[in-house]
Amino acid sequence: MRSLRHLRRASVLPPLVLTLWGWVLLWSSLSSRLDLLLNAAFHPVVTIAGVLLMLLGLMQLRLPPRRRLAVSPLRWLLSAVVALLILVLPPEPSFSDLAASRPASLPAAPTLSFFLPPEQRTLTEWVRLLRSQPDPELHAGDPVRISGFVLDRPGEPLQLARLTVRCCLADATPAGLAVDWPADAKPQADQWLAIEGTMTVHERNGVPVSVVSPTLITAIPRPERPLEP
Amino acid sequence: MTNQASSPRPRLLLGCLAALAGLALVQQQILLRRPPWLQSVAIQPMRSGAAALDVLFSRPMDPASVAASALDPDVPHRWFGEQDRLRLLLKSGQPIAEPLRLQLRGQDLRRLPIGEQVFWWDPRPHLLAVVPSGQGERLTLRLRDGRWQPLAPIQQRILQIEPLGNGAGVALVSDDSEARQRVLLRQLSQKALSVQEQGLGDPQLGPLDELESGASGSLLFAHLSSNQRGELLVQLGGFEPDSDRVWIQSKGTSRRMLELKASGPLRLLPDGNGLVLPSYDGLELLPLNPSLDGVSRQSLPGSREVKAFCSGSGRALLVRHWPDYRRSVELVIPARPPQQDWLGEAGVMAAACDNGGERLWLVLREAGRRTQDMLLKLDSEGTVLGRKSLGDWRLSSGAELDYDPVRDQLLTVVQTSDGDQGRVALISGARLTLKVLEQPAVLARWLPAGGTLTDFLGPSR
Repeated sequence: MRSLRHLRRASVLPPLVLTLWGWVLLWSSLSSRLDLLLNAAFHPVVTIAGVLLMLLGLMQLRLPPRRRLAVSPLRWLLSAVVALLILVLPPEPSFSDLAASRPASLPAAPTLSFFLPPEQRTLTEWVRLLRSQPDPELHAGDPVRISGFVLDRPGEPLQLARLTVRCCLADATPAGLAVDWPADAKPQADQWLAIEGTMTVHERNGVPVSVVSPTLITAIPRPERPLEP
Repeated sequence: MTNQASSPRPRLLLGCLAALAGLALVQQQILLRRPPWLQSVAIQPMRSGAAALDVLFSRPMDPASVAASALDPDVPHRWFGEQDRLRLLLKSGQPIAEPLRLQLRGQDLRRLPIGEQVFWWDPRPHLLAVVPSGQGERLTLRLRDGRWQPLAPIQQRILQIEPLGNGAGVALVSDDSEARQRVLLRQLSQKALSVQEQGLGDPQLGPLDELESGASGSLLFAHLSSNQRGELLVQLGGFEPDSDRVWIQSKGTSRRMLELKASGPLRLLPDGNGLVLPSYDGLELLPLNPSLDGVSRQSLPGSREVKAFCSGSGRALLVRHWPDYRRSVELVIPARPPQQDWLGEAGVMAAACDNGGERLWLVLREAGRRTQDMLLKLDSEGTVLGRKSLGDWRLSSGAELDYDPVRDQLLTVVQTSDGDQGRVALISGARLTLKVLEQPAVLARWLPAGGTLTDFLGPSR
């Protein structure tokens, strides 16, 4: 108790906490944790912010205190605890839970291209294409080679999906493709899978829709950068 | 004193915040009760069926409620899509002989109904023909009442006509006695979509542009190609080495010169993303915007030529010439090797396929004592579905087979074996019956229906 009080009185506490938070930001960039949270385009911003915070903290440590501080607010200590927790506990987000509650409103779709071979389209490109060209007969028989996580939306069949982000997880939008899961496949929500197969036409709720008919399903580790721009 | 000085400010601040919150609440309630509205309706050239309309709403709609819209006559159709863009697709197989009336209904996801909207749609293409006229030839358009309307002045000879893929015009290449080739473009304003029945009609003539005057007299050939975006590729070849010019243009944009070395006529892909370039080693597929598409050229070696695009599916029909003088017809499906659907010694005079590449039509000519043209109908696997001799008629030189999915019929130009004038001919895609029109013609093509409607009244916008 005395040591805690001593620490709260210490003038080095605010600079130390600043430095700690700088390290949190820097470490998040270096350890690829940001890939789970933020569009890669914004990673340099976080890195620079981390370096600046650390520099500020170190500069304050080196400067002599102008006056003896009163008791440091408890919030400095709480802030330090949160920063330490972030460092100790790596993020394990459930993309399926996150995506299940999000509207699937993807940005403008590309045009149907004769040029790009269908098996080179990513899952997100497929979803955008089906949005702009919803006629399933246009895609029937096309080879498909995609990867994503298993998305479990309440009341709907399991889909294979990706999360697209403009900035960060706060604006994440799911892009899911219907899959005709084989009887022996036991996909679990959040499981990452690679699927090879063909695009087929199935009738769902009285409407023909494009459905991936897999010929090969492989479990894969979560990609280093699971979010798509 | 402190209390007296500080108390009015928080009150003012709180008052402002309360006013803003009230304003936001009122705005939210107004928006909550505002019904959805129609943003645009557009004819979609890329489809698997007979015809398609893209309907864009102001917000995500319940597809089942929109699918309850009334279509008159009630031809077989389906609605596709989700969110705010839905597509009405007319199924193939039942020829459409008259304009359609669509009474659009629907609810958004909060069950707010859209104001009922009625519009008329005529998906049938118009017939374009080059007809003999006086001392030359003339490009004409067949109106709905059967009359023929000239689209350009009489030319000594018309070598090619190319309708723009969005129906917004037709280009032609003409030639005169001094071998001067001209390239003209007649712009057209389509009236295939309207909110009033009287608004439908034949295309209105726009300006006639001279893209190449041929005044220099140095042109050896000119070739045109268009895609469904309405872009026009003009390929000019001169007598001098390295005098070839290729450019692409569309309405409202300036010419874009393309640096290409081709050994034959270039063809734009229907979707507007690339082109087919014949080279000495085979066919090459090039992206039109390599930087955007992020892909490089693809090659298909062998002596091949493009005969037709199955415009809705990304498929195409090629003719391959073998060293032993046989020919084969190949169906090209993206990401798969070409699939041989026919092989023989007969000449492949023309070929066409439906939008899905499921039905193929070939006109074959057997070399022998008497020239005889045979019309062959195949499925995508090469199975013969029908065969019919054209009898005394045969395809005119340079005639193409142009497929109209709306009425399930093929268009071409035929002539009798005694070398009489060519005549416009319509062939049923299902039964292969031949109907020869009285109109003499040299070339014939379909002008596709096109257009977009955006002038809908939103709720109190």
